Amino acid sequence: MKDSFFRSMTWLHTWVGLLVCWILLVVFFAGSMSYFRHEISLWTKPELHSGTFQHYQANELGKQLASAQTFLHEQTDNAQDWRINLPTERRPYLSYGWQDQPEAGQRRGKFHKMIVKADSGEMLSEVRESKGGNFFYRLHFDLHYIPAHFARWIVGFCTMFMLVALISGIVIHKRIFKDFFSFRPNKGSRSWLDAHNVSSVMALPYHLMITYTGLITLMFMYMPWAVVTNYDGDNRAFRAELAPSKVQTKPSGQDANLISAASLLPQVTRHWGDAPIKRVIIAAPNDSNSRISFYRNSEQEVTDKPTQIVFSGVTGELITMSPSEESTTHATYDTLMSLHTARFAGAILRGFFFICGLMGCVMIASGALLWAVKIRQKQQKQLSKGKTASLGLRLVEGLNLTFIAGLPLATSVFFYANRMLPLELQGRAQWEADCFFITLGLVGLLACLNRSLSTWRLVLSLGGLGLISLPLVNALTSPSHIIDNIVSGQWALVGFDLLSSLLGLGLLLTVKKLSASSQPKSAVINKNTATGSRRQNLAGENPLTAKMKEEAL
Amino acid sequence: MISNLMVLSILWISYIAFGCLALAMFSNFRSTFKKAPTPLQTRGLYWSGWSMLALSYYLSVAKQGMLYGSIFFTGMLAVAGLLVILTLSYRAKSLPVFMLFGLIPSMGYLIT
Repeated sequence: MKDSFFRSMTWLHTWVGLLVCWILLVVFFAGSMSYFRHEISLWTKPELHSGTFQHYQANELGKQLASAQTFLHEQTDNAQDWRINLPTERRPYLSYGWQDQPEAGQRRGKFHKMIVKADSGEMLSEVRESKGGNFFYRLHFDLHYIPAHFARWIVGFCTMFMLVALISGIVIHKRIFKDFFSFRPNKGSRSWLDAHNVSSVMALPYHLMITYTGLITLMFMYMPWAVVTNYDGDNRAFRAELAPSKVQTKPSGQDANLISAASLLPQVTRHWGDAPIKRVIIAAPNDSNSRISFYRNSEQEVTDKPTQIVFSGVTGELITMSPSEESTTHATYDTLMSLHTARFAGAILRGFFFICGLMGCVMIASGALLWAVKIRQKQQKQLSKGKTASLGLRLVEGLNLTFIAGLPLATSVFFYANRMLPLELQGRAQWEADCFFITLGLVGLLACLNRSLSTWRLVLSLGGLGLISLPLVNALTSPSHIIDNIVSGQWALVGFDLLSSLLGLGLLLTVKKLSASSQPKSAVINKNTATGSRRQNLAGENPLTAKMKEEAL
Repeated sequence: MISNLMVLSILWISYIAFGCLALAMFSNFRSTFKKAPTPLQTRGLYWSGWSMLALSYYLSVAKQGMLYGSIFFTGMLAVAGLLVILTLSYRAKSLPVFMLFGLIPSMGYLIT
């Protein structure tokens, strides 16, 4: 009984994991990148790199709001709303935005955004079109090229499978504590299993948290029945009750004079003290039903609830203020959401989460590679007789090559496209994303023809070189290079350059190990000089998990 | 927001904690010191590992609040553990050196 239970769990872990691993790898990778969404967006707009950076200044606030309002009043005509984004730690510039009235048949009007120069207060024109960090953010749950709704179901399905794989993985890993620190490099499939175990166990709390909260983020989509029943399927009524301050007021159509947002600042200060404000939105300006909302920068509070005060834009009367009393359920939801998005996290915690996310990528990749290595071992007899590998093995090896080696390369190509595509190109932002997927496609094509070690080396070293030279590209195509940025303390840009070259260096080291190792593909994570191999007798003693896996396959 | 030096100290303490726990295991101890540990050594390492871990949790929470500190601690553990594993795999003999090297400045910084 016990034996068959473990067998079925192992079977479950293997096949559930294999089925979704490549989509999960993309999702995990894009999610890890999304921790630096704003930093990436900043990097992809070199026009902003000089002359726009400023800190939040509470005593300048009144002046900034007044000039913003004057500008928006002059520039826009019949806009749906005006937005003033104040500098924050991660988006250190002041910008004005507005949204046009939606055209017939459209849900939303067109957004416009202008960035203000720090010294002169002039507008910055000609900022290149780019999705930047939002590309990875959307890729994380909307994938690409397919309708968002459909994609979210796919991602949700894969996430559910991930949760199953995680839990069954814990069950079948009998030596969690005994093998807690064991990584035995250069030992073929044993090393792959070790890498798989180490990357899963070390970041296990993170993996469980991120998978579970990932399901929570879209729970109203996956499980809408409670809402459907209680609100007669009226999702809007539900959302309105959930967050009354998010409800958009309908403009009355009658003109009225808009008061100055700056004149409301004393009231805001009375409620919030000196807490920084990150955004001011003026809805339906110059309408008798207009609203002025102030949003607080919630900094390091572990919650995703927006904190805002809403005033009438005509009388200046306070209309709503959040947080009003929150129900326990709502608070739990907000906390779980914020755990997933990590918007509260400071730079260092963000970095830790990024490393955990990469460990998740290693976990998925090593699992997929382990499968291929084991099956190839199993088919060794037939292969040595000159027969070709089975279709399944070829498919898995091809997909492994495409996604594991292709993703870093595609990422670097995305950033090259960002800097090299002509600025006036039509649909430039989309072209950047297209370049990403064209690269993946090309690697996939290559994988159809040749999946040998040399192809792995080629693709990985291209990706490594690409990432390592990104700081150089930045120096050549933006007004400030890494030294300038260090001097002026632009750590977001410095961090981007350093991190990309570090990751590139890691890939190149991997390629070096690949060349040194006789075992095909078994050294991707091995960065070893064979010192710690004294534990091999221990490995020979009781490789239970390995055996179980072999049996299952 | 806590200072970078503080983060480094807490990270290093977790590294030492995991290092002690790893050395409390027979095979890791042997690959590092080239001899078998005595039962006393094993027990000493085991308990000092756990107490260092508790210390680093206490520090995270004390410096950054219960909620943020706990999340920080969990994220940091993964990184500290990874560093210990990498050290054990590639520079096993240097593990105690790295641990001691971090102990003095971290403790010194925390006390002052």
